[in-house]
Parts: sequence; C-alpha cells; structure tokens
Amino acid sequence: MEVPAKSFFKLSETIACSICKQNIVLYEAAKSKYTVCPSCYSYLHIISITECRLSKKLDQPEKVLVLKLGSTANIHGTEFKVIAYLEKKEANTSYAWREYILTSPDKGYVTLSEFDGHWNFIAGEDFLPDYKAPISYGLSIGYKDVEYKLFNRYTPIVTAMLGEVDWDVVNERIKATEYIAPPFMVVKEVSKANNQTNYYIGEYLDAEVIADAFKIDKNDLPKQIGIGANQPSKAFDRWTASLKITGAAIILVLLFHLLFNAIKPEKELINDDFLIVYDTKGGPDSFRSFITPSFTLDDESSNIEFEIASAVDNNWLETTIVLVNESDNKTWEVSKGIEYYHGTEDGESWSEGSTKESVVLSEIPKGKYHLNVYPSSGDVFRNNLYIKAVSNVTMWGNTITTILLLCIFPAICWLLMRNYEKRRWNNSDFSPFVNGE
Amino acid sequence: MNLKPIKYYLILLLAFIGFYGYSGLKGRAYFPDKVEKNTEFNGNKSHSGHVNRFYHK
Repeated sequence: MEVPAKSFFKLSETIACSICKQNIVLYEAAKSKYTVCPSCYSYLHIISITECRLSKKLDQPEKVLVLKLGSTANIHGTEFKVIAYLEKKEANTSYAWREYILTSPDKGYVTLSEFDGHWNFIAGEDFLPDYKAPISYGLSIGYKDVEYKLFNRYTPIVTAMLGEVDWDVVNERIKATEYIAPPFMVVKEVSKANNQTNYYIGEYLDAEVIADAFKIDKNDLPKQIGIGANQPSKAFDRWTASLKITGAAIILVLLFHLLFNAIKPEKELINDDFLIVYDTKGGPDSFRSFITPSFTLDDESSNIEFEIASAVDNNWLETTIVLVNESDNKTWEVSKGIEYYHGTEDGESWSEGSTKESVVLSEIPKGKYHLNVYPSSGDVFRNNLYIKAVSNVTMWGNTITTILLLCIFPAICWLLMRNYEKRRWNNSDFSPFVNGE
Repeated sequence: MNLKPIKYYLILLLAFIGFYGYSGLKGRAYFPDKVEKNTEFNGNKSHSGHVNRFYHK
C-alpha cells in the first residue's frame, strides 16, 4: 500500500479575534506574532495562542486574493505556503501594489509582489546562499559584479492585510529604494526607527510561472499593464545577440576581404598613354578609334577597373571602351566622360569636374582580350588618352556594402530596445532618457 | 549566447556572407558601371567616334 506524502508544513491552528470573536486560521502559529481578522480586519498582536490584542484597524482589501492563504507552490525548487496578503501603496501617491508573503519550512520568508500584473519573487539574504552585500555607487549599486540602476524611491504604507507574519509589518516605517538590472532587482530598505539597512533581491517572474506554480488559471491573475520595472526585454536579448553575431560576421567579412586580396592579387593589364588624333572625316568632336595591345585574364572570373585620364582644360573628352574577347568576340562596352572646367568669378576661383575617371567591369571570364577605344572630345587639339586597366581590383564597395547591410538588423534591434527601455523608464523618476530622448 | 531570438537574421546573415564570398571569388562588383554586352558585332551600334569598326575573325 502506498504511503501518502507528508506535508512539509504544520497543520493550521486557530485563534479567536479579540474584537469580533471570529476564529482566525493561523498557518504558522508557532512563529507568527501578528495577524489580521478576516471578518473585522483588525490587525492583532498575538500574545499567545489564546490571546491577541488590537494593534490597528485596517481597511478591507480592495482586491480579491488570487493566491489563497494556505495554498502551496514550488518556486525555484522550494516548497512555499502563502501565509499573508498585503495591499500597499506609495506614500503621497496613488501607486498601489500587492504582496503575498510566502514561507518555507527551512528558508524563511519570501515575498511575491504584484504590480499591474507584473510579478516579482523577492528574497532576503537568508534565502540566498551566494548572497554578497551590494555596493552603493549613488544612483546605482553593484551586486555580484552587475550594475543595478536606481529606478524608484518610496515610502510604502500597508493599507490592507490578511494572514499572519512574525514582525510588525503594518507599523514598521521604512524607506525603500529599488535598483534594476532586468530580470533582477535589488530592493534596499532602510528602517526609519533604527536606520538599519536590509537588501532584498527580486527576480521578475512571468505570470505563467506563477500560474503553473500555484496550479491556477493564468486568466485568473491580474492582467498585465505596461512594462514591469525589471521585466526582461526580448528586444534587449535580440540586440545583444545580434550585436555579438554581427561583430563576428564583420570580422569574417574583413578576413574574406584579406583572403581575396591574397588569393586573387591585383594584376596590371594596361598602363599606357595613347596618342589620339582628331578625325577630320568623322563627325564633330570625333577622334580616330584605336585598339590596345592584347592582354590575358588568368582567373576563371575577375573584375577589371579602367582608369582613363587626359589633361582636358575647360573642355571635355568622352570615350567608349569596348573589351573584346579575342577567342569568341564577346564584348563589354562602357562609356565614360572626363570634363574639367575652372575659372574666376567675382574674384573667386572655381573648378568643377576632373581630368580622370574610372569604370569597373565585373565577372569577366578568363581569356585573351584587347580594348577597342572610341574617343571624342570638344578639344580638337587633344592628343593623349591615358588608360590603365587592372584586374582583381579590391572591391571596397562590396565589403562596405556588406558590412552596412549586416548592421541594419542590429540598428533596428537597438531602436526597438531603446524604445522598450524608454517605455520602462517612463514609470521612473530617475529615467536616463531625459526629456524623452 | 542565445541565438534563438535572431534565428531569421542568422539566415539572412549567412546569405549576405555567402553572396559576399561568391562575389569576391567571381570578381563580381555590387555596383558595376553600366555595361552593354556584345554590341560590337551585332551591326546596330555606332560609337560616338563615328569611325571605322574593328572586326575580328
């Protein structure tokens, strides 16, 4: 016969309310020192299991508890029981939130706080075996080598409560400061009574995790509004991942660039100043065409850059260059003009254009080639045309274009991440996005 | 490093690098000058020089 598993938690006990005489269920009777009567909402100091005294009269909770007192859940591998529910608000503001106090048999209290449907699992140093005291840097603090930025400062006030705790939670006066590094948060609490400082570490929990842990329907949990203070950002994950992978890709592209330069070095095919002669029989501006010496392309496929130059002076020269494959007569034809004008106007000298230009042909197959050159110029006395042809020229345009294309996605991710963070920090008085920028 | 959020970008990234590598090996410029192919011997093209044409073979 199977032996039923024993609960980690002690059985509940009851105590009579000293005001309305109704029974109050205590889940941690041996430990608890304060409780609230669920009938008259009296905040009671437990003297003994048979006696309690009124400490304060509280309001009825405004919200319905989504995590029932006494219910249990397993969070981060630890079994917890809900023993108290608190409604708190920020002094002098309308900001209100809810807190569920959970206890575990051996690790003490933790808090599940809920604000606008965003949940935080908050634990003190007793619960954190690798806890190290945070170091304060003014507007930020360091905890385990991570910088947490100041997000909020406030004085919490308990407006309603149900359940029990072992300290005077309603009457304690503390000043709380929250620092965030999503999905974590450090909460600094300074007691106004004795200036004692305590730190608590919060971790954002998805509503699904809460629903699964307490075995309740997610739709019964408060609907999420806006972005939680330490809600993890998918946009941030995308941005950091894309930044790293794009950095690696850019290095790879630059290595490819160097590799191509090494395995396909530049080769000079033509480097000559050609004599050009005005053709009196041709049309206006016509010069006699000419053929360059042959050259060979050894690589299966290469690019060719032509640089053309002529010392035109307040004039122009245009040439059509036809690359001819001598084995199959396939041709590639490009035209390019050179023009250079200068002068003085109103005492200021000016110039425009250039005496040289370049053109690039790509994917030219292996073979023996020559150029047919058809020059024309407005200067009938022009007598030279410099042509330089180089194969396998470095294609910086390809490299820079590829790098820019690779940068587009991280740039979009950065904008989305920044927009997300701006929305997050809209809820803070300490936003780094000053004036919404 | 979690690459799941950028899995589609990874495909695009590999395509960019692949195309860059292919272009580098083939000598393909992303922005070549305007080229007209096989104009010299098809008989319907005249050059600005208005001069003699070269014929081969």
